[in-house]
Amino acid sequence: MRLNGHFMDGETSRRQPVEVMPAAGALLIYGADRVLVGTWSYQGLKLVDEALAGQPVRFRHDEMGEALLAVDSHEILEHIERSGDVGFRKASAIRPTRAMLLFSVSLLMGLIFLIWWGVPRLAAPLVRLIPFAWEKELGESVVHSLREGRAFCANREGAAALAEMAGKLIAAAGPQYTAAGQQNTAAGAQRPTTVPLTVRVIPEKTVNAFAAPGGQVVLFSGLIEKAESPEEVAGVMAHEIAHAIERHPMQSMLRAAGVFLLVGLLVGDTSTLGTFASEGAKVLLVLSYSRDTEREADRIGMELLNKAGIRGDGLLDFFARLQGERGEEGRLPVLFASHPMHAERVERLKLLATGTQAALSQKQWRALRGICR
Amino acid sequence: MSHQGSGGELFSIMMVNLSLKIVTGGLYHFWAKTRVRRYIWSRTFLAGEPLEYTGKGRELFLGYLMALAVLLSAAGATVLVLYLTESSVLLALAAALVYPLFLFLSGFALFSSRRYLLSRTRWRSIRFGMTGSRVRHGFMLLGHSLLVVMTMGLYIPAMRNRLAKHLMENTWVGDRRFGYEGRSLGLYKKIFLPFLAAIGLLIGFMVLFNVASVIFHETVAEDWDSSFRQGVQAARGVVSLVLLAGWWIAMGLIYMGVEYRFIAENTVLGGLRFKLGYTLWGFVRFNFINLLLMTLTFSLAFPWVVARIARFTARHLSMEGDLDLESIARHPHGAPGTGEGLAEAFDLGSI
Repeated sequence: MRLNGHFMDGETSRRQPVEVMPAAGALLIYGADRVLVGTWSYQGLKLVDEALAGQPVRFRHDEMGEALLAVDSHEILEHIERSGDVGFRKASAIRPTRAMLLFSVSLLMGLIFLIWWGVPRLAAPLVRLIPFAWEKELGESVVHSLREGRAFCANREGAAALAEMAGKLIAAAGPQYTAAGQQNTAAGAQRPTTVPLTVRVIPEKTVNAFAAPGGQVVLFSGLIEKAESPEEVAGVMAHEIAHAIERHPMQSMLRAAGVFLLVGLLVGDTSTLGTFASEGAKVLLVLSYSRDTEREADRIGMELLNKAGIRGDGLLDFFARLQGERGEEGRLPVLFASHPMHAERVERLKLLATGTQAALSQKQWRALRGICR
Repeated sequence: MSHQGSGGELFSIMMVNLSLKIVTGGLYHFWAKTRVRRYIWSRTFLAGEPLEYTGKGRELFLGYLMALAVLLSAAGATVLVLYLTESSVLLALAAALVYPLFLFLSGFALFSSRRYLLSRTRWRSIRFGMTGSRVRHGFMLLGHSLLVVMTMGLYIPAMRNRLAKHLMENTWVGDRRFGYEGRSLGLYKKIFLPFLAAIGLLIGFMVLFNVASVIFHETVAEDWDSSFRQGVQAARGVVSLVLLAGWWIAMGLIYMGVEYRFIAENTVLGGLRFKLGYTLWGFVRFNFINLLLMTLTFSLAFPWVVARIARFTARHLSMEGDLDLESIARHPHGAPGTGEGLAEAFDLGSI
């Protein structure tokens, strides 16, 4: 049995056609004119790589230096195995084994699942481990940086009206919450184990409000100016207070950090495009969690309004007006917007409102509008 | 020359590499890189015989550890001295030296990693290799970079030509040494026309674009609502920016295309001359598609892009002239023991 192949001795780049005969204990290699060119014992023989379809089988030998023998037909492997496989070794295959592939896919799927499903679920319980005092410090520095050196609006009558409105909502939140802020009430000082919520106004034209970690709620003066009734302001305030009491801002930070860590682990050492990819993924994930928290804040905010007896249609009017002005929020794809679409919200909230009273008296409302003077 | 690797197989290799890297806290990186190289080399054929990569993961790992040890002790010693002496003169000196040192080390690492790579590459059982000094390459890179800064970038082609020359002239296959005949002026000449054409195209296009939009605004859009017109203006601005960015990328690609071709056709091996036979347009289009693939798939397409690049390069690389392919003898010298430590420490390249 002679098989065709070629042979390179490692001393020069010459490639000579040979015939290979599997004998007992060794491969006999015959060159031109049937001259014996080499005897390669099975002991020490090794495959260079797995035998690929359409490619010759390539061998090296421990005692033959850099020489390489290639046999065209894969039958040679059967012959070698039949002769007893004494010391024949395969080099580590380059392509991964099926077991390895299965393992990898499971691991990577598991990690992705962990990021997608696990991180948001974990943030809520984890946030309870964080002492409120730390959160408060963090939140205060966030508010401080957003303030950009401007003083909080503190006109006396306006601040009193603000405290009145905030007080009603905070009381509705439960006995464990008290109002902190520009005026530390005596009642608050007597119950130091309660969670203080701070509601303040920053002189800023944008129509917006936010909750920072540590019970810090901030309204922009633009919001108060844009609103046409105190119930509208109360609605937004209730929504933000809901965020604060559920500690959503801290949860978001934990989620972002968790996603950051895990995606970083997944993507690892990469090019700039890899970084771009992972940043994009992180943003999308963080935004998708925040849509859920927004829905929750809507619901709880409405509960606060209901408990305080304040009419809930203020919130709806406000949204309706905003929607009318910006057009359908379909400008940004829903995926990118951190707030659920306005129409969706309005429908959901309409069903929940039960309060009937005004948030502030006309006099207090006028005072609130002047809070930044 | 041909490359027969597939993106799909490379993807499975890289996926396994990734999970092993995760499981080993990143340590597997060196073996991962080795595996990828083994795959790419083994699927690349020259005159019917494949290339072989004989490097080992542990060589890269040890090289990395050594480089890290050296870097850390040097940095540590410097910090200690600065702290103890509290001399502001020394501090200023150290600060001034950091960037030049970085440049030097980059040059050193580049030469070093190329040397390792070549020494672990075999074809028909003959090894490639490099002679020459890594230190010299480090100083070359440093010196030429200074010239680049002084000429505000105009010197770049000359720098790259000279560095390529140093690398090529020190490259061997078996007992044959490569030669390099490229002169910097030649490279500048080759860049000149394509760049001129590209700039001309840009100017022409910009003029046309602006004229068209002015006409558009004066006629068709005249009756339109003003906010809509503003929207169109904004859109026009965005489109211009995107086109400009695209043009900028294309300019970079044109340069790379010209440079690679230039280096190839000035590389000789005995009586053999190399050639990269793509057209500039073909090269730019090829790379644009690669960029698009990477962006659209958030880098998941990386293995396929690598396979594409290997196939493209092999397809267009050819050799003319005569060299007796049968007569290259093995080189008497040995090969470096460990690999690329510094390059790994600097994270140069992912392949």
